[in-house]
Amino acid sequence: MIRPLRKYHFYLWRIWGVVLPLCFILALLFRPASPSQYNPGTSDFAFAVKKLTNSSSQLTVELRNTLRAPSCLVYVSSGSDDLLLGTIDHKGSYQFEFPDSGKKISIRLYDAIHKRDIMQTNVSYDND
Amino acid sequence: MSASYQSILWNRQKKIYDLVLVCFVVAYISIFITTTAVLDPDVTQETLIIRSTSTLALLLLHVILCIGPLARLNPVFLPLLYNRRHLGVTMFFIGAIHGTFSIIQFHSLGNINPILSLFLSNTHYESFIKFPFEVFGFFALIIFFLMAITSHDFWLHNLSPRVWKTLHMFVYIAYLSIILHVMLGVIQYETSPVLVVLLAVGFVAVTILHLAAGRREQLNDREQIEVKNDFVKVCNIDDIADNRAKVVALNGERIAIFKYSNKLSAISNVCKHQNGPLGEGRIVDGCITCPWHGYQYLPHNGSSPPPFKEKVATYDVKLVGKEVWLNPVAYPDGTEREPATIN
Repeated sequence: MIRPLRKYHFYLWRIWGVVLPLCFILALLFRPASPSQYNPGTSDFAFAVKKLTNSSSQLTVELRNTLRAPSCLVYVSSGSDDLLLGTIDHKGSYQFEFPDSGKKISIRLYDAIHKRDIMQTNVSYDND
Repeated sequence: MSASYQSILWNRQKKIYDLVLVCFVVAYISIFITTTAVLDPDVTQETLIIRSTSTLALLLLHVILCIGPLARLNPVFLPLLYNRRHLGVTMFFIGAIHGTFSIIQFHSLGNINPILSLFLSNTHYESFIKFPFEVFGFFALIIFFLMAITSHDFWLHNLSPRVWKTLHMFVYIAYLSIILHVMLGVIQYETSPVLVVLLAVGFVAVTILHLAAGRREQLNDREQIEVKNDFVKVCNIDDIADNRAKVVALNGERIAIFKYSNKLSAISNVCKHQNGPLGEGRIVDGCITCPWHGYQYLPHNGSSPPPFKEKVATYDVKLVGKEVWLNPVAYPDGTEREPATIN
């Protein structure tokens, strides 16, 4: 290798030796929060249940802020089995119909990608 | 070394080199895919291809970048340097498979051009941490493509060694792009720190090797030699092993003084092929043989034996008692000089 190339190599690697560790440090310092650590608060949701017929009811989920979880499945259960109603994502109001099963249901919001619960709550209703 | 252009001038060493390379590539991809499929049964085939080729290309790039300084620091690694270009072309093909499948998987399912999508799907160009990491990978792949298609000696001769070498020095820019591509991609989409740590280890190893080799070369270039009546005393005759050379740095360049058949001859240390260090080679069949790719030169005139046409500069060398003296004024490439005779 000729001398200018040797010098170029040496200078370049001295610069890389400073620039790249700086990039690593900056990237780690300003690393965005992982979506799996995202936990929306109870104030982000409002739930209401309305009886439609003798055999079915309607769940309304009021989502006050767009979710930052990659997927959010809505389940209801009144006994041992969970029933999948659908998904929610953007800010807005979502209605789901489900078989009526009494006066109290458990609502579960589940992140299927990260395989974890986002929220679980109970809702009592009496539309008689 | 070839007087005419052939796609690949195969020899036993190259066949062994490429066989080991192919076996490694196949073994790596097989083990990676099998392990990942067992640990994560839901993973798709496209994801397996994208991930196995990305990690393999990154590993090969680090190996390629380590070979140069390792060979400078220890001649044991010179065989790895011999066919490094095949390693580089293989790395490009594996990187291209990664890039192609990534574009298909992430950018070709919408209603805009996939290449355009690569630049527009994430527009956080103002942010370092959210910067579209795909762009770095794309430009690195372009550089590797240019290096791969010009890797043959045909392009080395037609572009001239200086232009060719300058083009291939862009590998360091590509390396910076690849580090940023992987680092930002991992930080934006992965939760495990393992990949960042592995990347940092690879980068530290490459940097330390290059700095160590560079430091050693810098110290060699700084060696001062006493000047007297144009000739410079460089060493004692016993300092040079038979069929080997002593390399000295004079007037900013290196000169190799070879001892062979009771004679001494001095030529430029820089091989015309890829600027390999001729003084670290040895005399084979009466010819100085470059340790990098086997290019050969006759010691007394610095010319490659016919039908080859490469030529390097020659120098006057003389013996005073047991002292070796060298005139640092170079003769034009291929000029015949009378060797000094060892009594």
